[in-house]
Amino acid sequence: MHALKKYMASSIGKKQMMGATGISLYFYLIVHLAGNIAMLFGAERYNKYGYLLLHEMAEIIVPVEIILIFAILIHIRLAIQLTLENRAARPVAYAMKKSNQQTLHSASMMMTGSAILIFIFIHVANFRFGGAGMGGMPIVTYDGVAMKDLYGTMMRAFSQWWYTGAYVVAMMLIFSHLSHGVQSSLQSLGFNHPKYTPFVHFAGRAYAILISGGFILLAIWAYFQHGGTP
Amino acid sequence: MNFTLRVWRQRNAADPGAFQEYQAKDILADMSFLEMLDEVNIDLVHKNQEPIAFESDCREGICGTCCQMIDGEAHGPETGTTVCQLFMRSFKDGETIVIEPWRARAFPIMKDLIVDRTAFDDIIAAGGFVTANVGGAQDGNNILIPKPDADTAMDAAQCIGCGACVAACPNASAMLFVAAKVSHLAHLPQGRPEKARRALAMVSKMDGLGFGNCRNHYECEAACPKEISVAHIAKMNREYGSAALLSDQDPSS
Repeated sequence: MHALKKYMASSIGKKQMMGATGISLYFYLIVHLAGNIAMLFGAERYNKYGYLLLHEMAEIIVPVEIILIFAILIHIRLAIQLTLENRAARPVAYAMKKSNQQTLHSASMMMTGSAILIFIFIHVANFRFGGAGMGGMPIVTYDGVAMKDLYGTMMRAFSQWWYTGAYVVAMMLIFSHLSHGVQSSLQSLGFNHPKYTPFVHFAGRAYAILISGGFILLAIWAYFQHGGTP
Repeated sequence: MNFTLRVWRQRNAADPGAFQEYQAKDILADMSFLEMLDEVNIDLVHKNQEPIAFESDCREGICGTCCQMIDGEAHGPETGTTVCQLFMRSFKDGETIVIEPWRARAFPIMKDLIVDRTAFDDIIAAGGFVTANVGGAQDGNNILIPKPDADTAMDAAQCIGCGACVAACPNASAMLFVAAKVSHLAHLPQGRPEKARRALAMVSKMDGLGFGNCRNHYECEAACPKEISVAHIAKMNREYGSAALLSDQDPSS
């Protein structure tokens, strides 16, 4: 345990934990996106999917949620610590500094990450915990089983142009964060290979586009379901 | 060619320092950047002013002594060169050139453009070597090393310890420097037996010296005059991870 603690306190240990927690979070996103596709098949299908997750699959979903919460907490704590240490490492800034490899995505990880955290709070309150901040979630009954009307709540939210707009912005921030994060996590964990690294850089960007693009398309679809009117 | 230089002048470590402007006149395009500074210094000495303090030694790109931030880039605008191998033809006539020292907490400024890079020596002293006395030079092919391994080790061994990686890194991280040595020795049979101890000791020393953390911006790779790849950082990440978690060595050793 002592050795593990020292590893976690080292610069490379911190980076590797950052990468490992990041991987768990971005893999979760593809599962989330795949599940959301159920909304295209109508209210009953989607509400039953939500019910399945929280009731019939609770033994799996709740532990996964706990793991994700820990992953987010570790990711945030390390991000703050790394940022403070990095600032301290150069107390006097250059009068002139050019960047040759750094991208807007890699330079703004802390900023996009903080904004994504705020988004997660709102998103989880809105849709995970009974429509908090949305005037609650009505109950619908299918085949005699009462369940939350997640579909209706979501459609109500996304029928508002500003809600869909803000959601699209949040997804673009996730695109930016993943654009750097996916390949960076693998590099931190030591995955760099002359044959595969160029593909990893491409695939990381493609994954970021797939995730954010997928969620954006579903949000826009939901907006137009109601003719784009509030 | 004529240039306006904005040079960082700082009397000593305690002095806050400031930029001062100098004119570099009648400079030949084929002069090196250091020769241009020599001309400016000769002029300053003639005017009874303190010459600009900068470091140089070999002036052929292999010693890693000349370290300057030129127009916001470590070793200036050309890739794969040191300041001494940067020639004035790389600049436009009449241009203003900004010259700063490396800036990092672990590299305190001693005077003008000279920084103290003892931190790098400390990291090497912590483990960047092979402890066994290997005796005289071996006959060729006495120790068989696959050619790709020898080449990769040589690529890493090219590091001249100039500190451009730290200077260019937005976080003043020394990962590329440390990785070059860890990777160089881990690729060779002479260095392999101690690779776990070496990775742990060098990283532990680096962390203690106040360098920043790697965030994979890869600015170090772009600035390195020896064009050392960040693949060596990934190699070090693997070496360190397995040494800390799987070997019987203590992570702080």
